[in-house]
Amino acid sequence: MRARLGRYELVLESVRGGHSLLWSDGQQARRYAIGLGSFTRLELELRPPPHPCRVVVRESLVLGPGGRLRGYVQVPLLPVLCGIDAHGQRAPLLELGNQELAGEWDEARGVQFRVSSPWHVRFPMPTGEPRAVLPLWLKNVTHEVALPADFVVPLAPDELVEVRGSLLLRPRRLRWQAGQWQEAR
Amino acid sequence: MTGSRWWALLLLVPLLACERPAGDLAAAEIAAELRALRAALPREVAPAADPQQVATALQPLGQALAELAREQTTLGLRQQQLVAELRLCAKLVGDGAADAAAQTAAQKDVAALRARLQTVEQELAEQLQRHAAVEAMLRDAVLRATQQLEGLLLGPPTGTSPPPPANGASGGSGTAPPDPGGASGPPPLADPPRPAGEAIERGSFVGDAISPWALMVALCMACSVLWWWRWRVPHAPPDPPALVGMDRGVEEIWAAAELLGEAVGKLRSTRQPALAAAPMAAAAATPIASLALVGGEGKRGRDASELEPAANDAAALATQFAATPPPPSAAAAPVAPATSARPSPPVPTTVQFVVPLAPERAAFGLSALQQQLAADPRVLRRPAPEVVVAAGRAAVRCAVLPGLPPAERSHLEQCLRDAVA
Repeated sequence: MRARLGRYELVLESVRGGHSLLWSDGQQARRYAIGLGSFTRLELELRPPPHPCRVVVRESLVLGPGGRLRGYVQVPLLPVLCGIDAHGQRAPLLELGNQELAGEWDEARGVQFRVSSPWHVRFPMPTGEPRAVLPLWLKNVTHEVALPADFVVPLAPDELVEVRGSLLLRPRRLRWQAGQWQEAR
Repeated sequence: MTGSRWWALLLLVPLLACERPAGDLAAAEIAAELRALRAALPREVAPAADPQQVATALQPLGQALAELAREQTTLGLRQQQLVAELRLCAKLVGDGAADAAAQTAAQKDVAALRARLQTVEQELAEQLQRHAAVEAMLRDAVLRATQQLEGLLLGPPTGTSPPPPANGASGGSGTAPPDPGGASGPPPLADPPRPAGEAIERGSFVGDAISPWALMVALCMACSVLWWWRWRVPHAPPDPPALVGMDRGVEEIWAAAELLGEAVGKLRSTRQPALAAAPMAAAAATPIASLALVGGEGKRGRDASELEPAANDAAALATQFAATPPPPSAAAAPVAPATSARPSPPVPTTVQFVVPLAPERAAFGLSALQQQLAADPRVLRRPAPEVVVAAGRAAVRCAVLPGLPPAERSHLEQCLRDAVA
C-alpha cells in the first residue's frame, strides 16, 4: 500500500507475517519493521506539535499604538501512525518526524518548536502538506510601536478541525502588552 | 482617517437626518393647493339650483314608491280574501262529511286541513309584517338619499354642519328634508377636516406617528456612542477575559479546554523529571563514563570496548568537555523564586555519543556531524549540540526532545555514525 502526504511518501508492505513501512520525505528515507499483533488496522493521524510552537513570521510585523493585524500562519503537523485493534482501541505506534519542526529549549518557557511561516493576509490554499492554519488577531494595546519577533502558541490535540479542505486550529487573539504577547479569551 | 474626521461625519449624519426630505415637500405643496381649491369652490357654486326644480325632479321617484305601496296593499287584501274563501271551503267539506259513513275517517283529514290553514294564516301575517317593514325601510332610504342629493347639489348649510343621517331605529318618517332656505348664499367652511399633508407641512418631527428620520437620528447617536466606546478601549486598561464579546457556549468550551490543558501540563511536568532524572544524573557525574548508559543497552558493550584501548584519549575528551560549559541540567536549571507562581520548565534530556572518527577525516567528520545534528528533528537546536573531535573519536552531546524513546536515540546515534563513515 502506498500513500502520499504532501512531500512525504508512505509505503507499507506485508513481509513474512510482519509489515515493513518505508517513510520518505524525498531526501531521506527511513524504514520500520512493524509487527502489528492485535492491531487490525493502521491509521495515519496528523497531530499538533506536543510542545508550544514559537512562530517566527518571515515578514516583519510592525504594530503602532492601538494597531491591529489579522492574518493566518501555518503550523507544521506531526504525522503519527496509530494502530487500531478489533475493539476500536487506538494506540500510537510511530511518531514520524517533521523536518519543519525544530525543537528548542528555553529557560523561561522550556521545550518548544520553532516554526517559521509567512504571514498570510488571506486564508491559505490547501497544498497537501501536513500543516494547519492558525488564524491570528494581533493587537498592540500599548502607546508605543511594537516590533514583535515571534509569538508562542501552545497547541492542544483536540483543537484541530477540518474546514474547507484545510486543517484549522483554534483562532488566537493576542495582545501586545508589557513587551510580550498575552492571549485574550 | 483620523478621529476628527470621524466626529465630523457623525455630526453630519444627524444634520442630514433633520433636513426635510423631497417627498414631504411635494406632499406639502399638494396639500396647500387642495386647501386653496377648497376655499375657492363655494364662491364658484354660489348660484345653486332651485329647490323646486329638484323637488320636481324627484317627484317621479316618489310616485313610483307610492304606486309600489298601493300594489303591495292590494296584494295583501287579495291574500286575505283568499284565506277567507279557503276557510269557508274547509268548513263546507267538514259539514258534508258529517252525515256520511266515513265521517270518522274524514275527521282526521279535516283536522289536518285546519291545522294547515292556521299555519298558512300565521305565515301570511308574518309576511305582511315583513312587507310593511321593508316598505318603511325603503321609504326611509329613498328619503335619506333625496336629502343627501339635495345637500350635495345645494351645498353645505350655513353656520352648522349637516345633520347626521337618521338610522333605521329612529324611524325614517320622522326625518324632515333640509330647509331649502338655509342653503342660500355661499356657505363658508366651518371646520374642514385636516388634510393628510398638513402634519407633514408643519415640520419633519411633528406628526401623529414617530418619524423614521427621528429613528435614524437615534440610531446614529447609538452608533456614535458605541463607536466612541470602542475607540476608547485601547487607551483603557485591558479588559478582563469575561468582558470579551463571545458566545456563552464558546466561553464554556474554552474554559473546559483551559482546564484540560492545565491537567495535561501537570501530568507532563510530573512525568518529565522522572524521564530525565537518570540520564541527567549520570551525565552530571561523569560525562564520558555515562556515554554507554545514555546510548542504550545495545550500545553499552560496544562503546565500552571502543573506549578501553584509548583510555588516554577518553581522558582528553573528558577534559575538553569539562572545559566547555555543560548544557542545562537538573542542577543548573533555572529555579523560580518562591514568590513566583510560574514553575520552572522541565529540563530537556541530554544524550552523549562517541563516534569513531579517523584523525585524517576530522574536519569532514565534524562538518558531517554538525549537519546531521542540524537536520535531525529529534535534536534540539537550543542548547546547541556540541561536537568535540580528539584522538580518533568524536564526542557528541546534544539535547533531544522530551520523551524520546530509546529506539529513537539508538537510531540517532546510528545516523551520526553513518554520517562520518
